Amino acid sequence: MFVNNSIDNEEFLPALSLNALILGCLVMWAFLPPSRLVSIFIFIALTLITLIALRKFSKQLPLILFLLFGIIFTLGLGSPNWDARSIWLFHAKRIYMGNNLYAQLDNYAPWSHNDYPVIFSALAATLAKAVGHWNEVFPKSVLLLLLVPPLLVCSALFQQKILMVLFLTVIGVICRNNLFNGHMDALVAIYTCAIILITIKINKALVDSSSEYIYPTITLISFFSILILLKNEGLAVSLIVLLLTFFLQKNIPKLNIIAIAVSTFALYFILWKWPVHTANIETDIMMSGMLQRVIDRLYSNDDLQLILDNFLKYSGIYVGIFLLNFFRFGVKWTHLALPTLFVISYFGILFLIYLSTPYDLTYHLGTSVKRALLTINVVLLGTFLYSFVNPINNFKKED
Amino acid sequence: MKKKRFINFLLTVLICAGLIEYFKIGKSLVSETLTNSFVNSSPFALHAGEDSSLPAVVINAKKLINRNSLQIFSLDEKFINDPFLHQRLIEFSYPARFGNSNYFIGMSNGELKSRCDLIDTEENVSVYVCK
Repeated sequence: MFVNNSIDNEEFLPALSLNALILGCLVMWAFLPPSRLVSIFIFIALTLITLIALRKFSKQLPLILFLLFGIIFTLGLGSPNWDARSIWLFHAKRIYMGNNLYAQLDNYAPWSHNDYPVIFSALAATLAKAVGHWNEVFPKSVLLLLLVPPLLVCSALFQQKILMVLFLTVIGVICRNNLFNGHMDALVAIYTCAIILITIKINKALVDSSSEYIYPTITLISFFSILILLKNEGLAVSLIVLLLTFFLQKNIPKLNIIAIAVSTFALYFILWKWPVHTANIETDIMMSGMLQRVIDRLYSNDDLQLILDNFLKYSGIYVGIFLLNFFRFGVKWTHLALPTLFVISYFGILFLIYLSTPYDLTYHLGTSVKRALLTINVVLLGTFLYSFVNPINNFKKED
Repeated sequence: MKKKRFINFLLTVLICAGLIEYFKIGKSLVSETLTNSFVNSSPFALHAGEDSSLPAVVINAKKLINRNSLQIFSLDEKFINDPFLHQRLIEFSYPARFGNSNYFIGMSNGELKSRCDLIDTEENVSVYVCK
């Protein structure tokens, strides 16, 4: 099997253009809310870039079918899902009706988690502006536009159509309804997987010093920036991946990783975290008494077992499949160090979050653990599939 | 040759499993809606998807809020104590806001009936003025 280990910059260009438009739209909302004409232009541009990226019909057929499925179900159904309505779509409605990105920072309806970032909501508000009104169907369809960039990159990185078909199957099996019902968890999972795959690819390509990696690096910045603005979990994911990349991916220049981290976090703090901080809006998990709750639960065997049982129930099989990789001939753990250590670190963070939750543990686990683990599960199976693009002898170059 | 055929068979099984999974996702998404069906208008129509996303009492309450031009409204016990109705009504009725007001939205046969003046009714939901 012929495997191309160098980087084809053109393959990253559509995703980069889409990300740039999405981030540009958010920046616009922050400083000068877009007019209806500008909103229409943004959506025409996003659609055209997507269509151009999908023009290789035969190669992109799996992704085209996936998106058609998404269009039918996001534009064909209402939006009854609790969190989608109470958090993401409500914030979008507030941005649209208030013509202000920071409308939610008056902390009206605090149950809607007003500290949560708003990139999806801003994009949904832009679509509402383009259409001219709000309703209960079309605003959630913008999540398809957010799904396109990471899936385009994955499609390019998997190289073979069959692997992309399997990846989309895996995403469906793991994320299920969360893909199209207006939740952010599947988006966070797919963005994380795309970021880890790009990082592995750049690291591998840089063994060959002639490789140009400017587009993948900028694409990486744009992916981190969107991920961090999708949901608070994106911040934890970005921190872990950047730290691990810094220490593990030795072929990527340290200065580049620092540049990626600085640009991503600067954008996040300027556009979102600082306004939230000045509005005195508290993150619910950080409520006072956090340390005491952690200590209390650490001494409770029942609580510890409950958390671990849930982790095992929803991620056990995927960890098992991922571990099969280590039994393949010639694979050392260092080849899979980035996804392995990411999964361990993220498990650790989730464990800490559940130990410190101010809510009843059974209730909190019951309502969120399945969705919180999507990121881990998609990364496990995504990197498992990606290892078939890179036969063992290609790993040896890294050593 | 045998190995290749086995791999092709395995891939076909996996792809079929994927197709079945997506069929199940579609079915489950439809059953999540309140009407168990696709919207029967354009997805871009003004009131599209309301009846499949929201309970009738919430839709009726919003009609009352709009008809009576309420910018701030209070709620009766029924809407306060039921988190589902409470959140659905607050987000659906926005930009009208829930707060301190003499105008109460409540059930037509609820506890407000005896102690407040009835202003308007939409099916089983009413607006009252309470002093």
